[in-house]
Amino acid sequence: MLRFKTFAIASFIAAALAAGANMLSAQTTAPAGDAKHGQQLYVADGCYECHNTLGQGTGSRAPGAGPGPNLAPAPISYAAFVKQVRTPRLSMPPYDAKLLSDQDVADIYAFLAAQPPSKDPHSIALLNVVTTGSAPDTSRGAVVFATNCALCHGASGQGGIGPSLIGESSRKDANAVAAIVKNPSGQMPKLYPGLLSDGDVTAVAAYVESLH
Amino acid sequence: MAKKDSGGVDRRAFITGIGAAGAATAAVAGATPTPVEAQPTALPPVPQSYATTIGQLEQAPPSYNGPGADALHIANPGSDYMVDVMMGLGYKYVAACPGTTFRGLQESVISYAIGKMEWLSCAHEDISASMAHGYAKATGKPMAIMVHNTVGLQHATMGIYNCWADRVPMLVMLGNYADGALRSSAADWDHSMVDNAAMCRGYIKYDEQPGSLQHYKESMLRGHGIMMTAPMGPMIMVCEQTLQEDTQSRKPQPSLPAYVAATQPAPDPNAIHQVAQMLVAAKNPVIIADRAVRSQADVKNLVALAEALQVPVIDKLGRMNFPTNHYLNGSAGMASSADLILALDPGDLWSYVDRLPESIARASVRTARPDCKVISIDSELLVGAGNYQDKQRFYQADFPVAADAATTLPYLVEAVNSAMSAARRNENPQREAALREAFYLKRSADMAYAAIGWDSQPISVARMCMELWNAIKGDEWALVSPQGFESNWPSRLWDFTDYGQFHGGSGAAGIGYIGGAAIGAALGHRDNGGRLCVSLQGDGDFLMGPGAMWTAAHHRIPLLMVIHNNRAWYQETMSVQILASRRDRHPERGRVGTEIVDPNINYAKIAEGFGVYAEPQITQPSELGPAIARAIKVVKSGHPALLDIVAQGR
Repeated sequence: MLRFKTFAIASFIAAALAAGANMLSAQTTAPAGDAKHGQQLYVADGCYECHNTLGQGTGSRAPGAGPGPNLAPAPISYAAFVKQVRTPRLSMPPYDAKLLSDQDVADIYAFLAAQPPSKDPHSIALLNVVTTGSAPDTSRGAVVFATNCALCHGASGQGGIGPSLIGESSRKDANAVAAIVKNPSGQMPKLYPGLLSDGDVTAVAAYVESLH
Repeated sequence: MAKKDSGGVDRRAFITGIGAAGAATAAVAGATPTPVEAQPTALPPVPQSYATTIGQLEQAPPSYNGPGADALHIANPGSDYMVDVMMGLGYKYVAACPGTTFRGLQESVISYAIGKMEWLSCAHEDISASMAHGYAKATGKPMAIMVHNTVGLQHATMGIYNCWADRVPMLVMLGNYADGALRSSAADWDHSMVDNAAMCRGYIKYDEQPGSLQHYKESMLRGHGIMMTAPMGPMIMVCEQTLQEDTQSRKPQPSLPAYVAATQPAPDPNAIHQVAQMLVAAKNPVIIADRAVRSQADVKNLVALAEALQVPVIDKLGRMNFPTNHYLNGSAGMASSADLILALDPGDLWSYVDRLPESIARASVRTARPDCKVISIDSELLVGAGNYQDKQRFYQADFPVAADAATTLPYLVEAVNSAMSAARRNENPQREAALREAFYLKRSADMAYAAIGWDSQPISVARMCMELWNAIKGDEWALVSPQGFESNWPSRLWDFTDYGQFHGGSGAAGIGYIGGAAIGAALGHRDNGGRLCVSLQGDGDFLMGPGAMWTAAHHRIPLLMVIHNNRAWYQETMSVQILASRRDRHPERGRVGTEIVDPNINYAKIAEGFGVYAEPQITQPSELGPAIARAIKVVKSGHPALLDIVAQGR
């Protein structure tokens, strides 16, 4: 088998995961929270059971990856976080106001948002040997999707916390997809213009259109 | 142990006493005295190490063939013949926890079959069964276990069920006193049944209770053939005490059987042709494999099929079906965009096209495209219904083919190559580029996810796994345990390239499997060239069969046992927590009854008590690398070692 070290795309994914917390926090309106109290609640109320003790989770929501996606250091937007806590999709149990007050939720979010950036996997010798194959001429849209969208919509766009995007081209054209990315509703986080550029949005919209 | 003794009198000592008293009486009466048994002079003095004695005995030829038959002796016991039949079928090992109902067989294995069979001492019958399960997966050969009637079989049942659900062969030799008039104690009655295999009949392929040695021989051959034909599964042979212990009065046919293996179930040639046509015509096909292969040759056939079509393979890892470092190793989500799914001995076919979220509504959701067609090549169609529901939810494939997938693969590769037109071949480079890109993104994302919390305490499970792989990847290695409770980090990040490197899960998710299965697999690998074997075992699994460590130490089975110590039966922790929140009460109590704390258990100290090398309990990530290196040095010297690693839950 071929064995290559990973190149720019993996670094981009890692950097986005690492930097996401600050970038997202800056564009959302999370209320002030007590991160220390949030950590206590996170442990006491069992969040760590699926998402591990620092919110690192087990990776994506893809089947076989483990029970809980990572929550930190790049938490989803506060609005999306609250919605998932109160009225969760998939198998996550609900935590209503009887169990967690609004301030409790804000405190937990503060704990997650306070997690330091993750290491670049290429700086970790034990990870830098993972076989990935050679870096392909990957489309920019695929990279943007893998980095920002796959966690909720699935690695292949098959859906998860977010809806399936398979066959989206039969429902919306690229412009409509781009418009949703720029001005999302519901749980979908707003990544533009903070995290995504105009070029990123155009590229990821084209990529979504290609999912069949 | 649930076994009862016979009222505090050692049965063997009791019988010996009767014999001595009888001999003395006969001498006084002037009858012909029974010759005093000549003691075997070749035996060494009693050594300090029992294992050493065993080793020396096995190297020495039998020096004593027993006395002639008289009132006090038994010549040519039936169990010798029964063991001959086992050896004729290739059995090399018997794993067992002792039990009176099979003592005749035990004595034959340990004395008559010296140097030909080895007795593997186990502390619990579930360990025996799991050990045989792991051995068969590592070698492709069944192992025999012997179990005491009633209580021993009751102990073994979960291991037998796991083996059945995993479609793996195992010979269960069950001792029995069928004739109530010959039962000499209350315990003998307690340890007897009328329909001996009844409690297991829902999860075995064959059972028999022969009434003669001839019947036994024929039943063994019949059962072996059934057991070893896909889909494979365990068999139970009930071994009457009288057949074992009495002289072979009604001699069976003198020649020992020459077993001839049957060919495996192959598909209808027309079906192969049709499947090939459908695969070639599909625009976006995927292959899903669960228990699709049984050898490295089968792996190569699957790779050849995938490469011919440039189609991704989603490996459900019931076995190591497809190399994890091959660009055609696909992600699970690819099934949702496929227009054609080829499922190869898929196990749970329904789950490839539908999903049932663990929610209150329990409403299933189709995950596959509405127009997706499903071909299943599935040996499950050859298994009759049972009481147990391990067949999983029914899904009506569009094209079901009743056949063994491994047997089908070479024919299918040939048919696909014949069906590929020039135009279709020209599409392959484009498909390959896209699939290389998908593989790159999948693996790169997993690298990035693994880096999160790399230095955390409790120790990151991803880090634990990568520290382990770093220490073994330079050797021929095998991961002889499941990896699901480790979030599948090994298959996500390690290079699985050989069939022998990974054997999948327990089959029926029966916890307590790993301890026995890992040492059974490690034993198989030790005999087949000596792969460096490691296992990942949860602390909850460990607690259900810690005695497996003693077997590993006693029989010098080299294995690195890594205890993933998350201080809980963690799957259930998460499961109960879900209900606590759904019921809107006390989420902080969701862990009561599933945590293994207060006191925290130190598995390293337990290991030392069993005679297994262990490092002090590991809590710091920086301790991992050096501790693993030291433990592997012990394993390479031929001994087991254990590392107790306090780690994240998943």
